[in-house]
Amino acid sequence: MQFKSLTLIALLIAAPAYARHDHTPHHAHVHGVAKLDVAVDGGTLNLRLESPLEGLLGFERVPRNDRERAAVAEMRNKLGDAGKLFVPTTAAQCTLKSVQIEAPALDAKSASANPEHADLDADFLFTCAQPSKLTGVDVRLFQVFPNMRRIDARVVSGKGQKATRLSTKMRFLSW
Amino acid sequence: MPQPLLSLENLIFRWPGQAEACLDIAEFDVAANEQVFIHGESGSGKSTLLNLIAGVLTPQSGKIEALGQPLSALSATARDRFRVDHIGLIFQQFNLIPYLSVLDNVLLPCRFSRRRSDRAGDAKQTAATLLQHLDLDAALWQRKATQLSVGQQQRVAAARALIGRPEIVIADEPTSALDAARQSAFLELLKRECAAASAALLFVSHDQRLAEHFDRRVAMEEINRAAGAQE
Amino acid sequence: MTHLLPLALRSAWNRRYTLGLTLIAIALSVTLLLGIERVRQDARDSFAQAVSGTDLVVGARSSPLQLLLYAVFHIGEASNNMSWASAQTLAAHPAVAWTIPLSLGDSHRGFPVLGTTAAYFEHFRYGDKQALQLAQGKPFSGLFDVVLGAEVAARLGYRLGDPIVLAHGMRGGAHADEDEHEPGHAEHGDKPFTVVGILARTGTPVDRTLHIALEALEAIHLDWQGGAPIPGFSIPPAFVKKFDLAPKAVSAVLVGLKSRAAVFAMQRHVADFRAEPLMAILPGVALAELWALLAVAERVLLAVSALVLAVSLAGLVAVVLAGLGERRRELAILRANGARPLDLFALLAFEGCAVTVAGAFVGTLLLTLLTALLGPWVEAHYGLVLRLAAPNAAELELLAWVIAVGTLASLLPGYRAYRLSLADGLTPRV
Ligand SMILES: Nc1ncnc2c1ncn2[C@@H]1O[C@H](COP(=O)(O)OP(=O)(O)OP(=O)(O)O)[C@@H](O)[C@H]1O
Ligand SMILES: [Mg+2]
Ligand SMILES: [Zn+2]
Repeated sequence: MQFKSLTLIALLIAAPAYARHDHTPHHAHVHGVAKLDVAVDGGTLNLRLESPLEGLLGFERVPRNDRERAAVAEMRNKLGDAGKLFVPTTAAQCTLKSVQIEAPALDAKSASANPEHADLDADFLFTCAQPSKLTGVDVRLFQVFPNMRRIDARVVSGKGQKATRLSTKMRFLSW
Repeated sequence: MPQPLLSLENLIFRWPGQAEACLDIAEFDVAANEQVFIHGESGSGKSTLLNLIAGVLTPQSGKIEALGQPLSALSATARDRFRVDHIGLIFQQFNLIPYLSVLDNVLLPCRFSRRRSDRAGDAKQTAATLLQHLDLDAALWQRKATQLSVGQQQRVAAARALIGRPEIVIADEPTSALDAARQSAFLELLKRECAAASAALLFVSHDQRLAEHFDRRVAMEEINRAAGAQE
Repeated sequence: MTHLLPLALRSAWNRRYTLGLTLIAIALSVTLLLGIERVRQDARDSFAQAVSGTDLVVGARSSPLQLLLYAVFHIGEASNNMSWASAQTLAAHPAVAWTIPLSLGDSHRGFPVLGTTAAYFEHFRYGDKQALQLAQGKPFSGLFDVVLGAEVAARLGYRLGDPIVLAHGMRGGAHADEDEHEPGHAEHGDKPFTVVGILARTGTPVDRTLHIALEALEAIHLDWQGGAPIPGFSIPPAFVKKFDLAPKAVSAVLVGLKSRAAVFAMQRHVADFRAEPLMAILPGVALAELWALLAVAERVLLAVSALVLAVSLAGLVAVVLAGLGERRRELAILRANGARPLDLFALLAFEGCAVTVAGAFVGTLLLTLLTALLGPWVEAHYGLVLRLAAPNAAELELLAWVIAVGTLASLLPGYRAYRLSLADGLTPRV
């Protein structure tokens, strides 16, 4: 009963669109669109990026020649240098602690089932000396990976949970 | 000969968008304290002439000099200032601002002109004296202007034109809405008060019968060389 | 310019009826515009308050919106339940700090009845991490105990010790307003509950909820089947304890985690749940996505109210312009008495500007008044807490826009007066 009218309107308008826009982990694979999950907890800042390989590399399978192998190495380098991809509030004094990249499709041994499309998952961990000053991250993926057009970001922090859509025009993720 | 209060020389005025000049006046002077009756047919350019003297319109060529001051040398704003400082105006009818009281209507020039306000001294007292002289009962002073008869309204307009003793009073057919008896009564009052305030009076009318009240009478046709071309 | 001000005021006073009506039109449209903006913000705040303390909401796999709405706002119904076993497995997960199982379905006079556990009173958080407080009484302990939300108690006038009969299903008889029950509507009349506690007001859906134990929900449905009592079969309240009252399924589970950072991993974990298809949503994220989708509708609403305002301002300009025809003579008189064309421009522009400012002011005042008067009613009926406060930054910005546009529009009559006074000189052609 409560929120009845408001929500009725909300439901009518939103329901069909909402069903499609579903944030279950096994999301649709859309080229140019990545997902970024950010968790801020005390002095740690966790970022998890899920992106179609296409947006990072241009192809989504085991590299076939030296040029493609070089491209993979370059991508790994760029992701490893995550301080250039994600710039947390400077005053918070955050430093990159670790980067983990998972991209089974690039590995001849595990490459498999879905030869058409494949994702890359990467976890980035920062620790911050002044966590109270941490209010956001400048997401610079768009410059480093020009094929990326949009990032659907979710943030959980002491201030609650939120969802934001980042683009080349709106690339600062604040909370 | 003393310098004239007002002098026009080789004045040509044409309304925008019209081929013929409306006014073409070689010479026209008015001396201080002089009372002049200007007459002419409807459309002969009387009102246009007054607008030029009041500095609302500017001639295409020629000179208008008032109080030794060439009007054409003044900016539009300065002419507006000059007008309220030195000229009192009375129109045919609807002279008063409907939402102001009689007294406030009379005081209007003092609002806009420092000079008029200074020369009026105690402005309210001066206004009261003027209104009394013009036969307006004190009971009427706080009324809204719209609650007065037309004749009363014209007398209020006269008081307003005279307050702060401007050098020139211009009246554009102020009597045409009055009956014959009231016309001459009003005219005499106006003449008396102008004389008392030592203001020159330019009185415009197409009604020749009023001419007898004036020593100097000017026909538009005499001074306006464009007059013939108009008709 | 100061010598013009008294004139402008007297002139405006002279036309107070037309200008007053225009002012009212502007005030009303400002109220509408600000009101929509305020309800929009307050709805967001209000909804956000309700989800603030929960990391994840878990339920049977369906639409995230549906899960959010029934688990947090008690609107709609679960299309599927999740098993009690799954709920317990979830509770035992090492990353999980607490769980609150929820079972919805029954109602009382239009208010939803929530079956839950004692964990609800201990762990549920709303607003700024606030715990639930009991205004009177204690949490439920006996089988047929019920704890009322503040609004339920206030609206229905219940006190501790009062008996309450639950209705089966969410259609729940009449809305609390209409004081009659649908005849023949199924009620759990044989098993009345007793009010043992009344919660303090929270400004969230909790206020409009009746809380009972999960076991009580089992108990009242022991002798029911397919939404109706089994004919000729009834188990009196005294005997229900002889049955196994452990819940078999729940509608949803609210989950609090030990570490916030685990929330995304936990969400994936739930999605991969073996025993049955489950789904976990981040309520704050789900809400943000809902708002993002509603943004279009919100913008349409704002646009419509902006349009209404534009119409009022156009009305203002029309009124001032129409008045100008009658005031041509007034302008000529002012001009004869020393007013510059620019003065007349200022006079007219000031009038429109002043009416707009006054309209904006009156509109804001009206909104405050309406909020004060209708706020409690809106909260009671829609669970929406309207804040009674001075305009915030966003509202001030709207007001600034209104005044800017109004002033800009008023330049038009000002300009017209300027042109007329130049063209007319001392002899207006009316
Ligand atoms: N604003 C105007 N624009 C163009 N022409 C104008 C304007 N005002 C007056 N005229 C023209 O100028 C001429 C003189 O007009 P004016 O009003 O000065 O005559 P008048 O002598 O005052 O007449 P009346 O005795 O009827 O008041 C007329 O032919 C008139 O058509
Ligand atoms: Mg005339
Ligand atoms: Zn039931």
